Amino acid sequence: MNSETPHPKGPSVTALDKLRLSHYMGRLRDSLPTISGKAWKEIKQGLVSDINEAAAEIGMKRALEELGSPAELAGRYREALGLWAHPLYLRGVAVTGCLLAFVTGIAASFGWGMATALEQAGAAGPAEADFLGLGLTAVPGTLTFTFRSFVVPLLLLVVFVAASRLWRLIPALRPNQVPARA
Amino acid sequence: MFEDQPDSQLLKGTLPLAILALLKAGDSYGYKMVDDLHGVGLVQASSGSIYPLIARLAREGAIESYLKPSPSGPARKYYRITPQGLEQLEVSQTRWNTLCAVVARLLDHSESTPRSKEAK
Repeated sequence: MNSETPHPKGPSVTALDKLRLSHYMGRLRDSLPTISGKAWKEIKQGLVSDINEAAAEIGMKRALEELGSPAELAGRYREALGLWAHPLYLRGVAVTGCLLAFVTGIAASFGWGMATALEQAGAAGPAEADFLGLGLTAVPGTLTFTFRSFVVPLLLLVVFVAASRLWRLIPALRPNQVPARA
Repeated sequence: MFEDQPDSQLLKGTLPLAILALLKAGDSYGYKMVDDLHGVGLVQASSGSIYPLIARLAREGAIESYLKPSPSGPARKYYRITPQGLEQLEVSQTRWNTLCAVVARLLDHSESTPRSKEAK
């Protein structure tokens, strides 16, 4: 073959082949969640053209088999392009969740201590307090407490997720994941 | 069957050099590069390894792509080597030649030096 080689006239591409290719590319895309839209477009453009070229010679099934599974190919692209396997915002959400759990745990301890103190002091009514954005209501006698509001931590979580999504959508904010030059 | 083929790690290290060398000879597209590499004997170089590598070289700026209409099908995505790629090829080639010379000397030395009794 040379650079002017016409497309080979091998097995014709059937509707099933197109479906196979579409399914393969869909799974490949799903396995590259952190790739930018522009970089994916560049990859897809060349890959689809090359797969069709191979399919015309050896058939779509074999052409796709030679590439390996979509997950394997995605792994090679991730390695080659330095992409992360999972979106970073998921890590952020996980970290935020852990922080919230930690704060809630501390607040729970605080509320428990407050309820114990009320009981020991012989107080009759419930006592209310705010602790790191969490409203606490300690009831003496039964040593129970309730959280009055999760509004502040929930608001923080929403802001974090929104900022994370925005970070993912704007390539300029991600110096290590600029779109591939091609 | 593949006794005369490089192992996968060796192949992985030399594929960028091979791709840049191919593109120095002339612009090409992914499938043709796979075909050409197989043609020169690198039959273990799979398309699944070569396409991501092409994407990496493009990202690094060593090669760049353009679409070229084909006489009998959809436009193909061609790649050409950039000045940066030529420079990279030259450096890699020098390193490769040096490594080959060193390893060849080592192998020659090991063949010409009999093993001592202690080693046996």
